[in-house]
Amino acid sequence: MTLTATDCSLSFRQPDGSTLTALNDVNLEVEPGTRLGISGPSGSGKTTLLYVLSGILRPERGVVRWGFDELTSMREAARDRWRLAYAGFVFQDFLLFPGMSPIGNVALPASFGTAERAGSRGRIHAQPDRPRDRAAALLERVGISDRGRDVTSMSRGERQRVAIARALLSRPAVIFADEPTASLDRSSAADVGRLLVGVAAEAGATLIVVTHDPDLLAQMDRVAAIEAGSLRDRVARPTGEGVGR
Amino acid sequence: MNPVPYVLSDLRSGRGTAAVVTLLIAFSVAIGIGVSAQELAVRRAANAAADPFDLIVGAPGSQTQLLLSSVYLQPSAIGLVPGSVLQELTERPEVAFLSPLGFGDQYAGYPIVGVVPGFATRNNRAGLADGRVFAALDEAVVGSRVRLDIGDEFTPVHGFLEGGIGSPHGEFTYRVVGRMATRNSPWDAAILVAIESVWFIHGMGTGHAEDGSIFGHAAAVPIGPPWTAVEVPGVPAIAVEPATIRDAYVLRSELRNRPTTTAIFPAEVLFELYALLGDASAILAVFSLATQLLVVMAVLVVVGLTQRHKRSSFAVLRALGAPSGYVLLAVWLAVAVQVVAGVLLGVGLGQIVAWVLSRIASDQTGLTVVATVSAREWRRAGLLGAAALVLAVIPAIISYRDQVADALRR
Ligand SMILES: Nc1ncnc2c1ncn2[C@@H]1O[C@H](COP(=O)(O)OP(=O)(O)OP(=O)(O)O)[C@@H](O)[C@H]1O
Ligand SMILES: [Mg+2]
Repeated sequence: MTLTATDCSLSFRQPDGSTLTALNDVNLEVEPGTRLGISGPSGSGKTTLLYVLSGILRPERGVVRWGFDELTSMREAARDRWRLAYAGFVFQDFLLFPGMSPIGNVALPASFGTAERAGSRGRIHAQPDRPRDRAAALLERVGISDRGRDVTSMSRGERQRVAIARALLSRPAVIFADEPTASLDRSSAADVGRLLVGVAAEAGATLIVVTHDPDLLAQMDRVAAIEAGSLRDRVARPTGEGVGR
Repeated sequence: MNPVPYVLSDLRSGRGTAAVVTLLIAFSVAIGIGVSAQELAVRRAANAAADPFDLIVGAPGSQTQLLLSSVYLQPSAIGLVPGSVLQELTERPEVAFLSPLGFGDQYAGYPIVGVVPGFATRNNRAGLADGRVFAALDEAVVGSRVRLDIGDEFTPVHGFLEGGIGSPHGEFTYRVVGRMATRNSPWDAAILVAIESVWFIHGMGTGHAEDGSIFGHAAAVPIGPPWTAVEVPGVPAIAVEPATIRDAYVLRSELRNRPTTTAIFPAEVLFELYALLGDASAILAVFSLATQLLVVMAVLVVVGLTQRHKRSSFAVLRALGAPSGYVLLAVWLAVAVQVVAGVLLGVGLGQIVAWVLSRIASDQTGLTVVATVSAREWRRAGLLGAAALVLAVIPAIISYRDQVADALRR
């Protein structure tokens, strides 16, 4: 399904009373299976754009569509269901749940409820495997073998791998990742970046990644740059310098 | 929707706080239960101890003091009822049974009370646990908790204080011949002797006409009524068992208005005492309620603080597609688990608190106080728990209404 944003704008009221335009008439079209990189300076609206595309935030103006479904006109509960059914999320700081094993973390979204996909060809229901079995398989895929211990005792690279496995549990059609390698050291950043791109490709999922990481951007089909809320799509792919300060 | 796995991990990762919250609730429930169970138990025990005493006749003065010193054997100096009254009551048709209560002496802290032999068997309604009733001036029957065995001899000491001001009464010694069955009252720690011996030790004769030198032939002195001396000595109190209920009221109103006597129904005086103590117990109840409210508030604050801490976790749940109802239920369930655990633990602890308080109360009053956690206490704990469960909705709703994007920004 194609994800499109049309003329989306969003501004925030600042503590001093002024309004800040975080997104300014953003237009974007992401075809199924595309790998899109988004880069831009700090505070330019990258995270805000991801939230708008995933239905976490509703823009003040503009429309976000998933195929023919209009995310922006859905109620919040419907957008939650949409995210559960179609989207996966990877955060910069992993944001795993402490007090839980990697397998518990990965399997957790299965406890949110039944994800209903539009149409009858729901992929979750088509494969009636148990969430824990699937979580175990995903952990194996991302290279985590010790699945029993508490995630707080794992290294940062390992934690991000677990977070990627979690994002994949519901077989998402689109994976959002917000600076997934920014808090990792160089070598684990490279590993995790390759892993993310690899699993997205295997799943045939659309991948939308906010990142400054030139290595990661180099693996994208297409890169968009955002500056002060304005998006310029299809900018030149980075060659190692010049993008992301 | 099944937030249980999340709730479990949440409680596990914040187990310190969860334990504190659970313990706070448990303590508040335990204190509430312990105090309330205890109060009821003390009343029940006090009533039970007063039960065998229908009517008490004493010298004019405080009714409460008469009650305390006769039924509960609390040491106090009270006036004497003239021996003539004792003599008169022995012959009154309204009286089915009576016994003087001659207290004032003690041995090793056990009050020695001069009575008639029938008093030890409650006028033949109760047997002895062991041995027989005293039949001579120098024989004694001990209460169930007295540490003296049959055959032991002891010298009475004047006065109430153990090893205190009292001086031993010459060479007079008693010999233990029997042990009473347990009465669950301060009388379990009392030593019963013939009233004649108490009079005799205090140099007041024996109450019987054939006074004389009885040293060496204590067995010669008759024990029990009728007392035939020209001048029968006075006694601190007389326990009377009236023949009928009507007789009880006749005797009381008559003896109450004489210049030399007063008469009380112990049950009635107790009732008045409770009414008086009622104010105190109401204050106690208010304090106990206030403590519980404070605890509930403390719990809410703790929960509120941890909730702020958990904001981003909830936001992540939402970003991953959890419905807001899932977060609502998760927050509420986590609090509910702590509340229910706290209440159950508190009821258990309450049993212990009640038991400890019972032991203290038993030791101090000589009553057998048995506090049990009854339906009333369960109901109270249940109410507190229910209130907490309702209040737990507040943090749940706050988390539920939180804006995901705001909470994810840190
Ligand atoms: N909930 C909010 N309330 C007020 N201002 C906000 C809010 N969310 C974002 N902003 C502001 O909007 C602008 C864009 O924020 P956003 O987080 O999207 O930037 P970003 O490009 O992701 O930056 P970074 O690289 O630092 O993560 C910033 O100036 C930010 O301060
Ligand atoms: Mg950001």
